[in-house]
Formats: sequence, C-alpha cells, structure tokens
Amino acid sequence: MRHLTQNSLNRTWLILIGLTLLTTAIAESSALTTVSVTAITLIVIVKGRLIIREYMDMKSANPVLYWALIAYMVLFSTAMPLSFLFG
Amino acid sequence: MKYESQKVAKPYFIFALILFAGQVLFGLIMGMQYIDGDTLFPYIPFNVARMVHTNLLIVWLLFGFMGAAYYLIPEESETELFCPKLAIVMFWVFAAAGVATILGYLLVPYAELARLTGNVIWPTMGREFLEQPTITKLGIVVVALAFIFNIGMTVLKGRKTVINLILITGLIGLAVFFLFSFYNPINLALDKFFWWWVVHLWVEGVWELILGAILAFVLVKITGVDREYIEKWLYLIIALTLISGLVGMGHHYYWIGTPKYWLWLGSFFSALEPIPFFMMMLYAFSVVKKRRINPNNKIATTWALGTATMAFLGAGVWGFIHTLAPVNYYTHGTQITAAHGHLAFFGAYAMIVMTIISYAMPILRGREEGNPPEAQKVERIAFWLMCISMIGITLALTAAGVWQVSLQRLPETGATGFIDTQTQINPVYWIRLLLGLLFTAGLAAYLASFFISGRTESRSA
Amino acid sequence: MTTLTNDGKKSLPHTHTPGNPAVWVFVLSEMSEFAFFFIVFLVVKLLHPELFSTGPAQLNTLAGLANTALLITSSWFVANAVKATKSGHREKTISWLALTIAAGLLYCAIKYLEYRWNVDHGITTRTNLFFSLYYYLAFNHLLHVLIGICVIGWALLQSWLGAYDAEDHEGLEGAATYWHMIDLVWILLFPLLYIVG
Ligand code: HEM
Ligand code: HEM
Repeated sequence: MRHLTQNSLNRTWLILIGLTLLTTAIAESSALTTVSVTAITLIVIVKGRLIIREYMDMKSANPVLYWALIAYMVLFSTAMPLSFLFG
Repeated sequence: MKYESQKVAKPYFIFALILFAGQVLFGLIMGMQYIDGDTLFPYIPFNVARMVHTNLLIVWLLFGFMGAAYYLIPEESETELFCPKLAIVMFWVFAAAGVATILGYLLVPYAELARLTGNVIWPTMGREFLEQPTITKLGIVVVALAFIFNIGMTVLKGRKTVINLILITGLIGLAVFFLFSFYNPINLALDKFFWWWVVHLWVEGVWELILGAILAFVLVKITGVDREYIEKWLYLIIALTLISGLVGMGHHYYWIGTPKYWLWLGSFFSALEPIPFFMMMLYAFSVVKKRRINPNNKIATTWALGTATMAFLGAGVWGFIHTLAPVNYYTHGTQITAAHGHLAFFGAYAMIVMTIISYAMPILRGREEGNPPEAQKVERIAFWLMCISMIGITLALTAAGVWQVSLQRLPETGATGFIDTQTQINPVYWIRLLLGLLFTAGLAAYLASFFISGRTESRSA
Repeated sequence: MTTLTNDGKKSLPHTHTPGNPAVWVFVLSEMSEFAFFFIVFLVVKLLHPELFSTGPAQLNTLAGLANTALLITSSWFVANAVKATKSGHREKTISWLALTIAAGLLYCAIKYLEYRWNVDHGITTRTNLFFSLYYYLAFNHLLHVLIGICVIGWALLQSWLGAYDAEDHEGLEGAATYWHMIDLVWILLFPLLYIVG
C-alpha cells in the first residue's frame, strides 16, 4: 500500500473513489437533509479541485484559467444545496 | 506591394466597408423596430430593412472576397493580373448594380420592383437572401464570370500554389451554386431544397474554402512559417469541410417535406461540421506560435487569430447547439437561429475580410510596414469592441431564443402565440439594441483608424 | 520588421498551461454549453420542485456510481499517459491511452444498459420534465465521451507515430485536458441527476 500512495496520481485516485463512495453512502443511508446535501456539495468541490490540480496539472497554469475552472465547480455545485433549500 | 495590378483591390475594399456601415445602420433600424414596430413607418418597413441588411451583408462580403482575390492572386501566382482594366470596369458595374438594387428596395414597394424588373418573365424574387430582381442576379453572374475569368487566367499563366488553387476552387463554387438562385420551382419543398444549395453550400461549403485560403495567405505573410506546414493543414481542413458540409446540408432538410432519412444524415454529418472550424483555430494558433518574423503590422495577427476563434464560436459552437434534429425540432427559426447567423457571419466572413484588409490595405496605401502604432491602437480597440459586442448580441439573442422556445414551442398545450411571446421577450431586445450601438461604435472606430496617419510614419519611411 | 531570436514564445518562469489557446477555447465553449444546461435544469427545478425531489430516486444509482468511478479512473489513466510521455516512455503512454479508451467504451456500455433498464422501468424522455432533462444532459454527456474517445484515439495514434517527446507534447496535453473536462462535468452531473435532483 505504501508505494501506491507515494505517487500523487495514485493517491488522488484513491481519494476520489473514496469520496464518490461516500457521496453514495450519504445518499443511500437516509433521506436527504440540508446537512447531507451540503456535505455532498463540499465533496463535489473537493473532487473537482483535486482533478483540476492533480490530474489536469493546473497548479502552475495561467491563474485566470485555473480560477475559472475552480469557480465553475463551486458555482454549479453550490447551486445544488441552494435549489434544495429554496426549491 | 509586389505587383502593380494588386492595386485594383483597393476600391473593392473601400466600397465593401462603406456597404458594411450601411448594413449595420439597417441592423440598428430593425433593432428599434423589434422594440417598437412602428419605427420609421411607413418609410422603411421591417421586411425592407431586413432585406437591405442581409443583401448588403452578402454584397459587401462579395466585394471583400473579390478584393482579397485581386490582391492575393497576383502575389501568389507571381505575375501581374491578367487584365486590371476588366477588374476596374467590373467594379463599377457591380457597384452600380448594387446601389441601384438597394435603392429599388427602398424607393418602390417590393411588388412594384418585381413588376418593373419583369419578374413574371423569369420569377426568381421573393426568397430570403435571394430577393434581388432577376436582372440584378444576371448582373451578378456577369460580374462573377468576368472576375473568375480574370483571376483564372492569372493563375493559369503564373505559379500555382495550394492557396491560389483552393481560392479559385472556392470562387468557382460560389459562382456555380449561385446559379441555383435562378431555379425557382412552384413546389415549395423543392424550392426550399434548392434554395439551400445556394445558401448552405455557400457558407458551409465553398466560402469556407475561400476563408481557408485567405487566412492561410495572411498567415504565411505575417508569420514567415513554411508554406508546406500551412498547406498540410489547409488540405486537412478543406477535406473535412467538404465531407461534413455537403451532407451536413441535411440539417436544413428536417422539416421541409423531404424524406425522413435526412433527420439522421443531417444530424450526423452536420455534427461533424465544427471539426474543420476547430482545426482552423488550432492551426492558426500553432502557426502564430511558430512564427519566424515579427512584422510591425501586429493588428493583422490579431485579426487572423480572432477570425479563427470567432468563426469557431459562431459556426462551430452556435451551429452545433441547434443542429441535432431533436433540438432543432424546438429551435427551428427562433432567435437562436438569428444568434447563430450573426456570430457565424461576423466571426467567419466579416472578420476574414477585415483580416485581409488589415494586412493588405496599409501596403496598398504605401505603408509597407503596416499602419502607424497610433492607428493600430485605434484598430485594436475597434477589434475588441466589435468582437465583444457581437458576442453580447449573440448571447442576448440566445437568451431570447431560449425564452421563446420555452413559451412558444415547449408547452404541449396552451403555448403562447408568436407575437405575445415577442412582446414578453422585449427586455432582451433592448439589451440587443444597446449592444448594437456598441458594435456601431466599434465600427466607427475601425473606420476612423484608416484616417490616422500618425507621426511615426515619416520617421520610419 | 524584426526577426525573433527565439521561437516567439513568451515563457514566464514556472507557469505552464497544458494544451494551447485553441484547445482552451474549445474546452471553455463546451463547459459553457453544459453551464447553460445546468441553468436550464435549475430553473425548471424551481418551477417544478415535486418532479425533481422524486425523480433521482427512480434512476439507477448503481449505473451512475459505476460511471463516476469509471470516469475518475479514466482521468487517472490519462494523467498517467501524460506523465509517461514527460518521462519519455512512449510504450507506456500508448498503454495508458488505450486503457482510457477502454474505460470510455465501458462507460458507453453502461449507459446502454442503463437506458435499457430505464425503458423496463417505464422511464422515457417524455415521462416528465425531470427525465427529459436527465436524458438531454446525460445524452449530451455521452456524446462528449464519444468525442473524447476520438480525441484520445487521435493522441494515441500520434504517440504511436512518435509525434510527442518529453519536451513537446502539446497535442497530448490538449487531448488530456479535454478528457478531464468531461470528467469534471460528470462530477457535477452525478449528484445532480442521481442523488439530489
Ligand atoms: C460560417 C459558417 C456559417 C454561417 C455563416 C452560417 C449562417 C447561418 C444562417 C444565416 C442561418 C439562418 C438561415 C435562415 O435564414 O434560415 C443558419 C442556419 C443554420 N445553421 Fe448555420 N452557418 C454557418 C455554419 C454552420 C455550422 C457549421 C452548423 C452546424 C454545426 C450550422 C448549423 C445551422 C443550423 C442547424 C441552421 C438552421 C437553424 C434553424 O433551423 O432555424 N451552421 N446558418
Ligand atoms: C448593429 C448591429 C446589428 C443589429 C442590431 C442587427 C439586427 C438584426 C435583425 C433585427 C435581424 C432580423 C432578424 C429577424 O428576422 O427576426 C438581423 C438579421 C441578420 N443579420 Fe443583423 N444586426 C446587426 C449586425 C449584423 C452584422 C454585423 C452581421 C454580420 C456580419 C449581421 C448579420 C445578419 C444576418 C446573417 C441576418 C439574417 C439572420 C437569419 O436569417 O436568421 N447583422 N439582424
């Protein structure tokens, strides 16, 4: 396991899969509440950020593009709890 | 300027830009009529303004293409133009016919114009973009034949390059497909079927060859990159254009009474049409990145890259949005179509003409080194004003279109009627009008940039 | 006229954006297109909340979950392909890209099974507005996966022809960027369609 997690691409993969399972577990365990929807939203943002930084290798990219991608993920994932609350 | 006869391009470019200004003026008039239908009533009804707007567009682009051809064909062929006099004579013939036709639209009712020009003898009038009286159409054919003869002979006696061969293929295609405007069957389905042979096979077929050739020419000149490299791309782009574009025409055959298989053919092949536009953008950026020279005419590079990008957005992205049959079922003929029409025509064809003008006009005016920095600065402001406001117009019309679809097309029962829908969308038309004014400001700055001589000029000369 | 001494690149220290401007125009257009669909989705949801609160539970969460895992994994494959090229391993690049394509195809297969499952459970494009939007969004995403497969296939071919090396692999990066974009969009789509609605 050790050598597997030393490589940042592999580590990222494990985290992403874990987070995906967690999302599903939250959703399947009980009816959705504001808390669980917020948790799911945060998970989406974390997943997006990981992909953007680690897989797309945007850490050292043009900051406008980097932040545009991050903003995109934040914007559309937060629309989820908002529409859950007010929908 | 390498060849004296390239000079004949100059009046073509100047007249093209004058007509462009006229086109935008009528666009603004319609922009107002969308908000208040009685604007300028009874002098300029909407249908007349629309006809003038779109016909001026087509005609100024043709002037631009002809100017471009007269400029680049001698240089590519490394020989003087076959007959410069013919080019000048044809300029006046075309300009006179164009002005007379527009005056005809404005001064007499359309039906009267049809009667005066003997439309009954050979009826071809009354179809969008092809409203010209039959005699004007014949005039266009004469001008086009003389033009093609002239540049064809030039290419024949001179060097043949990929660029000038593709350009002339495109121009011949332009003339040939225009002939379908003389075919006007009574059967409405057949009429529409062949109408698109002019309209679609122009803008999504042969004009793309013209666009590709002019862009390649300018890129060769402003980057100094090997011709072989650019030509390789050009071949690929042209091949993809023809493969996707010819059958892609099916996206206009969904609802006009043609067999059902067009739904599949049209959707599939037109979905491929954005690829050549993407390739064009890819290669424009890659050629500029590889550039070996850094000419003082910087703004020409901006135009070239801008054309490739805006053409991709207008034709590729906004074309794709509504090209699949299940989507087009709802969006056909809505403001989404107008959004696409504007961005595509502007991004691809208006901008390529301004690209070649930006490169060639300074040289034609004896400024081999490009315009002085002051003029380029104004031109750059104009570039951004026009591009941004046109994207704004497109977004506004897209919003209007979505709104329209949701009110008028989506509801299975109790849909809002056409006019009621338009009334509700009114706020968006205000935004469009304001952006149209911004566009006009950009155009004014662009035209003004030609009159800035700059102090540095005398120093560098 | 000045002749450039270098190849005309403005290279700031320590900044490197994968791909090139053309790729980014494309990727951003695609994301805008999805943004547009997200907005439509949310607006319709505000108008018909009842459909959207019951809709997601009726969809096959397992299919959504499997496809999320597949896309994440495929992104990992692509990232590895770029990494392999950067360290000069052409063979490895080709294998990683082939794996990416395989994951993409598997995604399509699952979509196919999911659509069949839907039909068996009486879910069609016309069942209600939630499902119409689900189909529009998911099908549109499927189209992008197909395009992505072609793009990665192209990069694979180029790798095989030896077009990329450790320094110059802009095309591969462009293809990878496109593929990751597909993944990003799905990460938003998965909770939106299958969980929260
Ligand atoms: C530079 C190239 C292009 C130009 C100048 C252009 C221009 C136009 C114009 C003016 C119309 C409206 C025609 C009318 O009055 O009915 C139109 C319609 C249409 N265009 Fe394009 N177009 C271009 C490329 C494309 C491409 C590449 C696609 C597809 C990917 C496309 C898809 C469509 C579709 C589907 C319609 C029909 C819209 C409807 O049903 O109302 N276009 N185009
Ligand atoms: C000041 C800016 C402009 C305004 C306010 C404007 C407005 C309009 C309006 C109101 C229409 C009629 C749409 C309808 O039938 O409902 C139209 C059509 C059209 N305009 Fe413009 N326009 C402007 C500039 C331009 C430019 C710069 C171009 C191209 C370079 C252009 C190309 C077209 C085309 C191709 C059509 C026909 C579209 C179709 O058939 O769907 N316009 N314009």
